[in-house]
Amino acid sequence: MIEDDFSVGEALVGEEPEIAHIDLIVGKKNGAAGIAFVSSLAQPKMGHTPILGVIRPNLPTKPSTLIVPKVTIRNLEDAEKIFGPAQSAVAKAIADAVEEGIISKNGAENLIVIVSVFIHPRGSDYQRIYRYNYAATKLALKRALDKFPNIDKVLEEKDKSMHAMIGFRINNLKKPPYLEVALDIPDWRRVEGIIRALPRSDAIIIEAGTPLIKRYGVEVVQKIHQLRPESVVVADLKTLDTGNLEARMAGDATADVIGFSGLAPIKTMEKFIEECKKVGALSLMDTLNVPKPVEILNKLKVKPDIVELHRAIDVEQTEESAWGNIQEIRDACGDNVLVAVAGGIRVDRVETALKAGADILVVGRAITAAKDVTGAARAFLQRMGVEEVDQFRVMTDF
Amino acid sequence: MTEVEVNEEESVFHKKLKLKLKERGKEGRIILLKDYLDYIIRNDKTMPPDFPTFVREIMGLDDRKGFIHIRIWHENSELVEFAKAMGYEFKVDHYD
Repeated sequence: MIEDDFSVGEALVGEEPEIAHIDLIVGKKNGAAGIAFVSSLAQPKMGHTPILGVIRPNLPTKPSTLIVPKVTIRNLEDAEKIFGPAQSAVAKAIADAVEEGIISKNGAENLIVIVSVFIHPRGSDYQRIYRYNYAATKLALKRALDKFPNIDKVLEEKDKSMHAMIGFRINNLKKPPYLEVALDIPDWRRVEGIIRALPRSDAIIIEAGTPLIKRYGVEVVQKIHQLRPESVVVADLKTLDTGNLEARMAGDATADVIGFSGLAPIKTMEKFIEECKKVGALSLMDTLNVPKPVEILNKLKVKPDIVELHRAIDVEQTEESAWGNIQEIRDACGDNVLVAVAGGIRVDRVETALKAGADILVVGRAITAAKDVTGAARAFLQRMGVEEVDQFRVMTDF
Repeated sequence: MTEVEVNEEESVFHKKLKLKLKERGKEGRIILLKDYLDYIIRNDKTMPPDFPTFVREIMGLDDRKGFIHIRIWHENSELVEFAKAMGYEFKVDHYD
């Protein structure tokens, strides 16, 4: 993994003013990197105090990681940005790198990481600070281990303009089932009312539906995140072309999950999925009107994180649901794939959908058009057997 | 809940924010929009995606004894927060 004493990586991710710029060293504990780690920690400089990367208080990440602020910390406001979202993002990115095999578990004990973090004093959006620093750290680490860029790449790219890569995720949706509330209503104030009326639950995913995005643009995702910072937000783009471009746009707008159409060309879908990985979002393949989704999935070199089996709103009233064999989807994509079912999901069909193997139930009008949005969403959560409120939040929200 | 019970036409839960303009006429509306932008920027809030539509709506609403009636869908919507924060006289009524 590390042939020399240490490797160096760098990444720039995001948009001003929260843009994240990471300089990173990963190296052996018993080499030069280890000495630098210990020396820096033992000799803090005013305004640039190095801190350990912790996932949460009392839980340092592995490999041990030292975060060094590049910009002088002048006051508590600056300090909070480093000690809060940036520290958490860096620590999570390093731990995720181990989970994803970028660093071996053996390396978790034998290596150390030094991460130099830039936070602009005018940066104020903690969502963006977290997301951009997460993505930049992981990218810089991977680049360090891949020895990116090689000299040919440097010579090829040195005169070309570059564009920052954006985005990332917080919740990887690893504890299904989830209730995805699809906001297809192209009226922002009504959507705002629905979001405010939804119960606070980690099991609720909010979908910016295609009509909503077409009306207001993908930036609507950022506004949803402002209202519900803790929620996973899906940008249902239904992309058919320019896969990497559209995925990056949604990543810039802080989408956690980004959807493309299973009717798109294979190359478009692969580019879309790859871009989602780059920006730290999950990719979702919408199978609306795709006759044989498994055949398409088998053709893809990279698989989506989520496959949505979908009936169109226009035919919901007339057709019975046919989700097909969910196990075949898992066989094609691996056991980590999440399967979402959409189209005419009602409370009385929740158990059927879950028994069929669905991880995510996508519900639109049964919640958004209900007189009592809160009650309608609670009815689904209860039938799904999901606690309404995250227990951690109950204990800490005094 | 059945499909029959979920009738979008019947889902009337929207309300009216009755907001008193600080000045009558067009000038009062422009002050309102300036105040709204000021509130959003100073509080580091993301721009509401419907802002262009909102501007047209505000400029076109009837003045009812110094009040304009804005449709909202939640009693704690951002517009209500704005009215409170910027010292506007207001009340929230159910849609009639």
